[in-house]
Amino acid sequence: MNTELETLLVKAVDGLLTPDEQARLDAYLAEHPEVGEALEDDMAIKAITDGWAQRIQADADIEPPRPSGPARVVLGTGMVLVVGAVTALMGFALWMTLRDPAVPMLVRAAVAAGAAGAAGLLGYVVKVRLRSLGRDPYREVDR
Amino acid sequence: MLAAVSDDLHGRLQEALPRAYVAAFRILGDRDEARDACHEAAQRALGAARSYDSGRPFYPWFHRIVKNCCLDRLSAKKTARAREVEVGDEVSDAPGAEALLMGDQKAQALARAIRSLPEELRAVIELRHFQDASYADMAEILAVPEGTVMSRLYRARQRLREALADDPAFSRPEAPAGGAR
Repeated sequence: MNTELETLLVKAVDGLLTPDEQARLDAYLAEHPEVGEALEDDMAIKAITDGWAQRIQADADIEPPRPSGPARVVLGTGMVLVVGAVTALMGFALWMTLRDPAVPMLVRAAVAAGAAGAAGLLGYVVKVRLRSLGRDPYREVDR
Repeated sequence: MLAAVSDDLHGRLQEALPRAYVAAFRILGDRDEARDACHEAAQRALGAARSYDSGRPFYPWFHRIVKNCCLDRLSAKKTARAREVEVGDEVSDAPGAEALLMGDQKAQALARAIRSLPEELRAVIELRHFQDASYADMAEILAVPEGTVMSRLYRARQRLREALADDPAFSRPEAPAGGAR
């Protein structure tokens, strides 16, 4: 089988024939129906593998891990504002609760313990975040 | 300038990730592992944005990163598969890889036939049928001329056809006796 025909058959299976190539292939197949049967078999195989690939992709739900530069600025600023506002409000509420003599001592102790725990957790997250800042753990790409 | 490069790369990544996921899944045979490998590969690609030559096709470059990530994961698991570095030799034997997708005998027979192909022919099937790589990208990834890609693809499909010819699941229905087609 010649190279040009092989190329036509490969492209036909992949659905990439130009109209001119399609016409040439049709003319050949009219004289060689056995090649047409082989082509049908190849197309059937391709349809099955296409189905697999589509099912794998549909299952993926893959998104790039980082948004673009401007979007990162918007997201970062928004996050800082929200965290700052929540921290200020919680701090104020905590301060008022601890200072209020009408609140039972047990409740004040529980609130203080919760606040200390939350502060510890927040501190740990900030520490980890600061450590990883500016580092690229995947510098080596090509090997 | 850097932001523009990053946005361009981000767009190309978004386009390539579904195909890369299929490649990773075919190598690793596990959804979560494949997803993690793709995320890791995307991070590596974004981290290496400066080294990417935008004049060259993106998918072969990213495919290489994905492959490295997958091999790292296999290597971490200390499986024998980690030593196989060629594209066509990377299809997972893990039950999840095929069993997840194939409920019928026809698909199972085809999966067996693909696995039985020689490495260089299996590589072109993996790239074209599962990753929808263009002929030019395949030539770049496999480091062969495009004509060789076409020739291998033709031979691979011929081998598959021959391997499946005797399989009952793929047999053509008999034409009615004396009837015209």
